[in-house]
Amino acid sequence: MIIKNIRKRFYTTTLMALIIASSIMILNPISNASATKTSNCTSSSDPKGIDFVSTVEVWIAAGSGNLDKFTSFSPCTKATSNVGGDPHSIDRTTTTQVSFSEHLGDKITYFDPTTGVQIECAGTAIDGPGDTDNNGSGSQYTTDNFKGTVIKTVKGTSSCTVTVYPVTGTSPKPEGIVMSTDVGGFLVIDQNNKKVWKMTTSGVFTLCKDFSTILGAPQPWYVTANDSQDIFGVTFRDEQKIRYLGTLSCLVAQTSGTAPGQVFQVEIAGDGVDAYVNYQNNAKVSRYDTTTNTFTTDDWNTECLSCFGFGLDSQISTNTYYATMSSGSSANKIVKGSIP
Amino acid sequence: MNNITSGVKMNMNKKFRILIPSVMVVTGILAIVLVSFNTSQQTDAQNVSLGQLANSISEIRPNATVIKDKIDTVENVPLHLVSNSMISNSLQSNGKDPAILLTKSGLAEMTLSEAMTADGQKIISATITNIGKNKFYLKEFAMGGETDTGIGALSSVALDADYSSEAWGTNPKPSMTDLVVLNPGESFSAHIKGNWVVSEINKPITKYGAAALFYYDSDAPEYNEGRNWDLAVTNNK
Repeated sequence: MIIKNIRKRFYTTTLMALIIASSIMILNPISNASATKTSNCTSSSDPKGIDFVSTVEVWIAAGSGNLDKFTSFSPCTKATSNVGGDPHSIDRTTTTQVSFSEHLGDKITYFDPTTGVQIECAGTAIDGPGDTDNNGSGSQYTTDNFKGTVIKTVKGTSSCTVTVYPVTGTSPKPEGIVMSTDVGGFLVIDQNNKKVWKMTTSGVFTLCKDFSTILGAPQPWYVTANDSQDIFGVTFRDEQKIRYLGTLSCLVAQTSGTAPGQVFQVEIAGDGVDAYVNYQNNAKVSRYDTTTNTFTTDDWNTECLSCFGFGLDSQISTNTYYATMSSGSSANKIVKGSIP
Repeated sequence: MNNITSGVKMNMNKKFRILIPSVMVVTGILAIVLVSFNTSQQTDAQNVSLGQLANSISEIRPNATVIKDKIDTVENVPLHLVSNSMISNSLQSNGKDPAILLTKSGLAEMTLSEAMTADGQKIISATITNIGKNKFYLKEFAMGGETDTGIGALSSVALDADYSSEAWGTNPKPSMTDLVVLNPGESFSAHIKGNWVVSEINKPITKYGAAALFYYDSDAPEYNEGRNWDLAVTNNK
């Protein structure tokens, strides 16, 4: 009788624990997805920007004046080109045009991987070039945080044309930039005045959203857009949140819960709406699910000890992310994964 | 004795027999409710895409009334303090490496107050006061709000010294577009009034707040390479 009671209580307690555990799991906004990590490869020191072109062509601003071109992540196969300086953000637009912002010499450089020739865009107008995107027709648009401008560069046969567009406002500090056909040009983040601007390809700025009107008025950082879904997402690093806005309305339609770290760069994930994000203070990559408002996270700290994220890109068709991570010293990884 | 003891045991077992299944049933129901709630949230979101939702809602943009002073009442209705903050933030950057967030207490104080008028309209009021030792330039003062689900549909810019009609386009002109100098001890206030419901989804604005951006002269100790300091308050803390 006593054994029977003990057994009954054991089953009852176990069942209760299971029910409670399931309830907690349903409500938990953050979950881990270690099984979704695909591969990791070592790059040159302190990798920063990354640009996914195809599964056999992924470009890295790899540190130590190098650009790495990965042609495979399993096994890890890369070709390194020494271009000098401190490559920051990178954008490969054609087989003969890889552009990157460079922080040591304050330049925007065009590199032709087929010939090794470099064409440099430099001058007093460029000081601290950062995020970069192209207009789909060969022109590159790069934010210059220190100058408060967006710099348009066009590669010539042996030289470069530079056009400077001052961001509207007092002491603007532009950070993220992304091309969007919905807005007829680019979405540009002004971190200092907490605004996101619509900028035409000829440099006309129109106010999209003033983030001073959102609760807590946090600083915006990077931006990603999907014109087919009429949405764009913005990261708020220190608040550890993402917000989604309409490209047509500029209205904040969704605010994420708190992410597991300082959200940094953001890219659209496989369903065209959710977002991959990396973190400036840890070695994680998360997928933010807009439907369930949850973050599912790959933790790469085992593969890249004490690392933090910088560059991020995604292949929407296969829901795959590619991210750069470094510890600022010896640990430098390019990681690949797919979080469902 | 034995009988009594065994009787107590019997009663305890009986209690357990009733208690444990009851707890199980309640927990089970709770779990089912939670699953249903979560599923219904997903279903609602799936019926309308995020893009459709984002682009179908019209922003509510009430005009703000501003004054370079503190206020205790609006239209003779006393205001009740909701929250306050004295923590200002700014980013420090060399323009090349990712910026570092600076926080500083004692530069300014921001208060958020509310009231209800006799005809049932809500008043939200915010005040910034220079509690530091040096004058600063108030360049922006804004108020906003969102629904419980995070749709930020309420937006009112009381002051923006960067305003230009070309750049603002269809965005409403701020109530004030001149830079405001606040010397130590001086205040600036703004308030909005109304009943704010996002009509497209029939959800009220339940969370709201205000924020100010300000900067200092280049010879002031608080000067941060021309970068703004910001100070925000919400009713959601």
